[in-house]
Amino acid sequence: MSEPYYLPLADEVAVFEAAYQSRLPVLLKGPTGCGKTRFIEHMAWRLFEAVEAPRRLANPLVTVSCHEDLTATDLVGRYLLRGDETVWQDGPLTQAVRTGAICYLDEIVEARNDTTVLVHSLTDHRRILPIDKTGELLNAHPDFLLVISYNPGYQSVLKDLKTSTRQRFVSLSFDYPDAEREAEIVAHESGVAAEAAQRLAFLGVKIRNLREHGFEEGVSTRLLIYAGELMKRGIGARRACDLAIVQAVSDDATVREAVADIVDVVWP
Amino acid sequence: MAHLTDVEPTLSLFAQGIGGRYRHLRTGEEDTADLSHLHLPASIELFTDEAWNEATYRLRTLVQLGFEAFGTLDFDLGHARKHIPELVERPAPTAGRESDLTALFGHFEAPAVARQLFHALERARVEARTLAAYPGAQKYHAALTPFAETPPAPLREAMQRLKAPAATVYDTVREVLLCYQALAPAAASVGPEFPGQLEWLQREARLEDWREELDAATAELATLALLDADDEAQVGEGQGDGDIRDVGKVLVAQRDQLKRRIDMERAALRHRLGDSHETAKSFHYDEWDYLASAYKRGWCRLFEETLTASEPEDSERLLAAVRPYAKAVRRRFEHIRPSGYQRIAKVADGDELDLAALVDVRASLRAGVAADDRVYSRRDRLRRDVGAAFLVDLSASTDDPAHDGESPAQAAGAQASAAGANLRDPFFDDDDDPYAALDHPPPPAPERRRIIDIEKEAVALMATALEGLGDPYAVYGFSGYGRDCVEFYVAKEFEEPLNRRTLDAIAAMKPKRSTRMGPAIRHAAAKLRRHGAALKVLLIVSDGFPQDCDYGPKRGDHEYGLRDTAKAIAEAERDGINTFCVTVDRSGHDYLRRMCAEARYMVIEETEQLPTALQKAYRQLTRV
Repeated sequence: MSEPYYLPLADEVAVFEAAYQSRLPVLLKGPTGCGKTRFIEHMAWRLFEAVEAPRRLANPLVTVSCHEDLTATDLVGRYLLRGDETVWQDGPLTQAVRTGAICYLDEIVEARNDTTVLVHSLTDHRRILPIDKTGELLNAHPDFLLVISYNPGYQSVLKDLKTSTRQRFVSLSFDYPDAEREAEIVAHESGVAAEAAQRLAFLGVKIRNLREHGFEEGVSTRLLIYAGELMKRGIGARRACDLAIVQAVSDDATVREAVADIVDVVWP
Repeated sequence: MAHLTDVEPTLSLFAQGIGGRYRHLRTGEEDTADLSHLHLPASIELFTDEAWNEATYRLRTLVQLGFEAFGTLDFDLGHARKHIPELVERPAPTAGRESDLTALFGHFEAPAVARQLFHALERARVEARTLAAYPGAQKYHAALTPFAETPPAPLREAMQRLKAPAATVYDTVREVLLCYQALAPAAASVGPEFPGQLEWLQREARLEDWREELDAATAELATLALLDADDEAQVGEGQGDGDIRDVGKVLVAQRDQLKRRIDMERAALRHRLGDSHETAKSFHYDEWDYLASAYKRGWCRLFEETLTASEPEDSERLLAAVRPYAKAVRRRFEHIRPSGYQRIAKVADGDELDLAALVDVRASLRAGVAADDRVYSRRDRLRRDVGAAFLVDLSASTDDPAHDGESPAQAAGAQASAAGANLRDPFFDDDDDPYAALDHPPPPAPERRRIIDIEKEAVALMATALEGLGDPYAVYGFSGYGRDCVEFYVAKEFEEPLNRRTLDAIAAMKPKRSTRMGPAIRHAAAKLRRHGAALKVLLIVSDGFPQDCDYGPKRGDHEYGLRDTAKAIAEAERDGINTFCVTVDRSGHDYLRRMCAEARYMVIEETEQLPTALQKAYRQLTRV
């Protein structure tokens, strides 16, 4: 696999490497589409796949996107029917614990409470995963690392991460990059010309001024890149922004209209 | 023709996106934005195509915001005098309180001419910069050229030069000096002699700087106080470092002077620019005119403001009144909360195999018939999706004393005891802590309880109850005076938890002015819709019929206000919001019947019944 592109904004790469060396679990905090997942892909590559990487593994990163119906069973594993018998199937977390990969639980607070408790025993000195259904007590592979992400912005107070969980992780905060670096990222990822990328980043800044209106997140770097990619494939700038940004940022018709007006004046 | 009231919701968001901060949209002829307002015409009718008239609003907004964005207000006289020799040749005016721009115009024999020149030229510069930054606006600007006046020749050339991408406000000053020489003799008597809008705006911007200075000074003093205390601890009493003391005195004097200057400046600015409603957001709402059987478009302006704690005693009193009964009320509501999980059998995917289904499948397979592959079971959480808003009347009449009787909290407690738990006697309490009520004995009743106190207690009790139930809820208050100033106070929003701050905010609700109910209901309904719960509930607590100074053609006539309120309630109901009015006015039956949805109101004889009434209403409305 080739290196996933990531433009460091601060010391996050060094911090993550240090945390990994001590096998400290890591919490990535930040709004949606600001590069958390890309960062972890990049780090998995650095640690397991780059030429100078200290160790090798075929699938170094196991990602689970958590949702509100995700249960402990989904992570650990379940019995499946196969012919006349039931067979045990490891869940993604169990697989990572066995092989020594990085397990990345995206938007952990979305999952049911039993899942957050499940990871507790993996994050302290015990590093074990109890599997109730098979009665197995699984010791984590020495290379295994747990990484979770959490978006404090949009989730309701009811879905805040428990202190007892939060205090088990090294926390790395992410936010959208400044306009200049965001333009660089958009240009690299989508392949649009520098000037168009700058306009997209400028647009991002202006739209994020409306964060409090129904979309606390503003527009993500990811959406700006989507717009850039559409433009690269020959869709006009306004139409591309309408498709990738205006329609995506909010359900509120008034907000959409205002965002469309901003798009309208920003493009020549 | 495009009306400001029609485009306001979108335009105000647009302006916030571009300018980075919320501004009220105000009708007016000035063509610059200040820190809290944009000034726009009430209507624009330049094009036959409506879209272009609306775009003109956006163009004007962009240019107004440009004065701040492109450095007009940052003009610094010292810098100008350093870099523009032609300016130094002129005698400097004596320094005063006025802004640097006013001082600049003071360099000229006819300041009014300089002012007008500056305004025209700077506008051209800002416009050019704005259009360069927002190329999409160029087409709207081009469409407006036929309507623009042609300036005299020297100005035209100066404007052309100021269109250079790197031109700054100091370049404008250079051009003003040139044009002034060319034009002054002919135009010496043109224009107003008093400072223009831009100069006031610069003073407003300067006020922000002063405020920062004040904060810095306060912080410095705090550090000094710490040092001083350290010093005393080390050296012993009376031996403190005299130097630090002296420095402290000087700093205090400086800070106080700064504070006075800020207060005076703010008063002057408020006089000139109007009350800023700095922390508020404004909205326009239609009003139903039953005499014309039509809506008056954008008739009422509503200011939404967040309540902040005023006096700590208020919240202490509120807490003391509510605390003894909170637990019981909370428990009663916990009973109606659906709890735990439900196991759903026979689903395609789940966390466990469903044995019964599995056996069926095996049997079917053995029998050679098609089997149902849904063999798992899944746990689902049971939940309520209710959003409630409490809208509390804060009219002046809520200052009236309530009728004598037991306190509302006591009444609520009494009802709670009827429901099973006896709070009066802690030993009948089957709860884990039988002495809880003893720790917080009911407070002695204050001498004079007002309607507002009881309203607040009722809402605070409901808040506690809903915390137990887990339904998101919001607490709002409303009052105001006249259609241009409906006040809407936010004590707690749906997402906020019930904590010290929100309790303080509820405690800070105070009797204010009139009762213009229509716009307040429309605004609360809009907020409920935005919150988006499946079951939406709006509970209105008031102490009388809707009234305001201009709520209807005649002041004493309540019919107009009644009809508008009824319409507002009907609109909310139409949008799927369950409304309920509780009124403590004994004559309420007469008008509530006509104002509210059927069976959706309650008149309570004694104010003290309010908490009980609210709880009852809430349970009925949200029975799922």
